[in-house]
Amino acid sequence: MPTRAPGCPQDLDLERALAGEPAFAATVTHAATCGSCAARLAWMREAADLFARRVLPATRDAVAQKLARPPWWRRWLPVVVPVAAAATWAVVLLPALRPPPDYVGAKGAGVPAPLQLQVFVDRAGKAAEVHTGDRVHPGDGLRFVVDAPDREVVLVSVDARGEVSRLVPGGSARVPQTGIVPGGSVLDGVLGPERIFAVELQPGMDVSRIEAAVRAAVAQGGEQAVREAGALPVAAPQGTVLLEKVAP
Amino acid sequence: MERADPQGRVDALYRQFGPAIFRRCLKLLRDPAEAEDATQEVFVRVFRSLERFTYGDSALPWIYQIATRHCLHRLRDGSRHDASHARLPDADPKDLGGALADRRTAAQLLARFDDRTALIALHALVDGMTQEEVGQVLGLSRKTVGLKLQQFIDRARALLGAAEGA
Repeated sequence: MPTRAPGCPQDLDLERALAGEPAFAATVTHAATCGSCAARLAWMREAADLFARRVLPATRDAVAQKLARPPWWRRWLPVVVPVAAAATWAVVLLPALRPPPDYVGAKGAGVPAPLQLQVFVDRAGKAAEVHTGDRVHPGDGLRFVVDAPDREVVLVSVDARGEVSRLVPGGSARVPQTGIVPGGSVLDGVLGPERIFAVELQPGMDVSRIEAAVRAAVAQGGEQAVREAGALPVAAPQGTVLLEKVAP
Repeated sequence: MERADPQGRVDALYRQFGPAIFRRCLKLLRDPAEAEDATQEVFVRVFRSLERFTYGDSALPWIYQIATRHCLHRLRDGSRHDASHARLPDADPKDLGGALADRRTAAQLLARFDDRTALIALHALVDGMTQEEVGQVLGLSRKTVGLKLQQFIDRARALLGAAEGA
């Protein structure tokens, strides 16, 4: 396969030009007058032809079968269900840990109730739990387990640029009994801290309000704001995990 | 929203992104049969995440990154699990680009480095990227890229030189 000559576009640029992306119109113009790039494009078209003639017909059914199979995160249901059951037992037993009737304490000024959020990353097809401070990479697939069965939970993240992203379609999802939130996300290429919030939706509360609270929490800007962002000023059970996204 | 024809959607996306994934896998794995397998695996991963991922103007940079990492792991894992590949094949230590163009040599060499260094070597020596470009793709400074690349070159040459002399 032909190699890239100095000053010529990267392979990815040629791919984007072949895909017809308008931003890469200049790449097409360059390739039309560059022998090296013309050879690279010819190789790319040959490979596309091979894909259409051989790979697509040979793999189409296998791809459909793989997509029909439960993804990796469903295969560890046997692990998660006992964890969820243990968590449920903990909730049942918690009343026994309440203070005695004569206890006098200071009530916090709106400190929200904790919500247990677990984040799992897909590494070589295996699910590994990541905790606050752990390193992850662009392209890593994430799945979430929240101890809020049958409740609607907002899952959003904020990255080093202060951009807030919805981690499940629509921003919120009803958590099944297993605690495994349907759907998941793949980390993009923005490096630095990535803080994930899970907030249990309350009556009259919507996703946009939670997103606004996240933006406000990091309003001072910069990576440090993301790292230091704590509880959101919303009266709802919530949990957060801070990951550090680094290059592979 | 549920789509009326999920298989049709899979087909359409496989036809759209399959060629780019296959080219990337073929370039890095240098073996059409292995690239075929890798293409399926990368596409399944991409498809499962495509609609839940915000990727800006184009999905291709993200897909490229997933394919690159997948192929790197495939090369390295294959090398680790195949005892017949325990010894480095003969290759010219002065031509690392050429050495990495050979699948077996590339697998053996890359298995001896951490992910970051291996990715830097692939981008610089196989893709022909400048150190600045590698830094942009991987989110590293040019200085870090330069240092890691030099470490790779020095150690890879020593390994290939030792194999040549053996």
